[in-house]
Amino acid sequence: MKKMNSILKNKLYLILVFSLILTFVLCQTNLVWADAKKVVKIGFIDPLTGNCADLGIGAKNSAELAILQANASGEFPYEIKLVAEDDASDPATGVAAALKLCSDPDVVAVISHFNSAVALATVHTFHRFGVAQIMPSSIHPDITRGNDYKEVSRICADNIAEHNFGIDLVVDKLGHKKWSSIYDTSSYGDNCNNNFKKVLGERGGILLSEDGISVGTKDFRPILNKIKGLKPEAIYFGGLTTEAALCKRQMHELGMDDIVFFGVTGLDSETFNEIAGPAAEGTIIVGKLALGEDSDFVKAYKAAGFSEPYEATGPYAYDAIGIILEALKKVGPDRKAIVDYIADPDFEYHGVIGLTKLDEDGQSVTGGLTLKVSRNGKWVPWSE
Amino acid sequence: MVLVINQVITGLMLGIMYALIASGFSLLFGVLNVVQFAHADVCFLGAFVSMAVMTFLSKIEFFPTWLVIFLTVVSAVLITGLIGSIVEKICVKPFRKSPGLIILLSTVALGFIIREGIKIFYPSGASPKLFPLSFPQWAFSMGGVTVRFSNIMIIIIAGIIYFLLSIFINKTKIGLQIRATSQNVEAAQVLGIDLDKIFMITFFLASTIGAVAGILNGIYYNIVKFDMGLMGGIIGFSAAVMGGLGNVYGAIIGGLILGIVESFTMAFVPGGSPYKEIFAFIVVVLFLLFKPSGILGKKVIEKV
Repeated sequence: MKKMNSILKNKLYLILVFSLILTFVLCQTNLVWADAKKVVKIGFIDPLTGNCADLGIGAKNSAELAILQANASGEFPYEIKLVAEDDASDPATGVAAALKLCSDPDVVAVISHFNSAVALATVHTFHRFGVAQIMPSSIHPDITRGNDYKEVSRICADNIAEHNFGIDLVVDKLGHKKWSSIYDTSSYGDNCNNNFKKVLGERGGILLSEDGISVGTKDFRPILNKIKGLKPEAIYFGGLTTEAALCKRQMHELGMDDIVFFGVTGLDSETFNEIAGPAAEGTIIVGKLALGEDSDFVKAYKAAGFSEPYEATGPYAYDAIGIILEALKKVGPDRKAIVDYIADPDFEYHGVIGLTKLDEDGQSVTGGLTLKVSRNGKWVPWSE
Repeated sequence: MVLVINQVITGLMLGIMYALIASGFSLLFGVLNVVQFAHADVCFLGAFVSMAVMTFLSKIEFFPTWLVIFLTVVSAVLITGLIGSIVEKICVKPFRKSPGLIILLSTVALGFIIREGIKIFYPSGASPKLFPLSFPQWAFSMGGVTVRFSNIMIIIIAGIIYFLLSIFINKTKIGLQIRATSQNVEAAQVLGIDLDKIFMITFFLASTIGAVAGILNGIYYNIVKFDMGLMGGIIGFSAAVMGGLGNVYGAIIGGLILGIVESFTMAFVPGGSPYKEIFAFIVVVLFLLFKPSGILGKKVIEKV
């Protein structure tokens, strides 16, 4: 019995040792196997259902395209995967999606949100988890400027960046310092006017008058008559196409063609040229990104065979992923290192939307903006 | 001083637009004793009708331009007049013996139908439309005061319309019947006036003037939009109330006052331009408080 016992003990001992060795070996092989097929995930949150779904899906397709190209390039020793979540344009759903992605240790960075309301809600989550969040398309200034989170950055221009970009040209290069402002009293127009005043003040411009009008105003002649007497060098219009076009048309009637008419992306639509007619000539605007049919992105997107168009959001989402891929190449799949890489003041990225350069708030100062001027009834890119 | 004169001119233009709409309101109120709230929508429907007619006529190649324009305006005005009479048949006649509120409600509903109808059925009707007609860009300046050809034309056209209207109302038999009806419906009926006919003619008349207002609006502002009747209706109605509902001349004065107030608010009240409508409606409220019968309104004696 005793002998039996000792044999058993011996056997048990042996089994223990053997299994330990086995575990170790297995572990080793397991590690090697995992390393060969390691997956690095990039998160994506956008409205994939609801009113803004088309814009979200266009962005998702473009992001997938970027990752497809990265995996095919063989430059990365691991497989990169896009994890797409739907925020349905709803802040609560967005925060839940952000939590889900941040809790997955394989997710190294996230691009997110078309809707500003959702973005404003989720920035705190990304900050708490220390995950880099790049916004390709939400535009509320406070998303980047309302906090000091290093993790949050945005590659499209916000309203302030748009004004900075345009005032650079009209005040600094063309030297028009005396301005009158006309804006519509909607939240967009009001916001535009406030940012315009702020930026103009910083550049040493002089605001002679400001007039608010309600959306739907058709008669600008009383305001223009008054402005004419003040002799400004330029008129700023903070609002949308219809009112702006009528205003410009009536300026022409009143013989005010020598005054520069300037606006931001709210005016970037061919409707402006259509309604203003020949009076539109010479209007300067800060325009949205315009990609030619022959650009590499457009060709690649078509070749990839997505059934939905890439929308206005696509090129930005493609570049946002591009920035994360660049970071992966430079600093590897580490959340903190990626955040630091993007927040570096010297960070620059050349992509589909052109140069992306971020200021101290993580806000792009370029954001794919193009200066445009109305020539012969069409918006054409500004040239000196 | 130059600025003041320029502002008076722009205010006058605005005022004439309002007055043309307001006089329709007044004319209709006179016979109906109820506000026809869809009137301004009928006016701007006139502008859309003229655009549709013009698109059609421009396709006929051998028509010279002046003929196209002439036919466009004439047919648009007549078609809108007919639409006005149809409106009366559908929205007013069945309810003539019902309480006034019912007609009010049916015309408010009709306004919605017209606006949404234009939005849905006119090609890309939701977006603002460039108006195809315009006056020559001719103008002359004298010491900073600029008078444009369009200014003169609008004043002349409005003048002709009011002249014809006053002749029609004061000198013709039908005009006499309209006046009689607006003074006392029962008495008019007793005297053998055919109310059906008078109602139809009044609607036709008001709608033709409205169509001219709609077309002039389109020409002066270069643009028409499906929902312009909404604001136009409120302003036109207010002008009619200020002038004294039921009195066409009062409506003209009311419209001009509102136009001048708006244009002066924009030009001379510091930071006042966002509040131009507010100022205009404050004036309306003041009139309602201190002279509720309006500038030229008849005193209403409540009969028990």
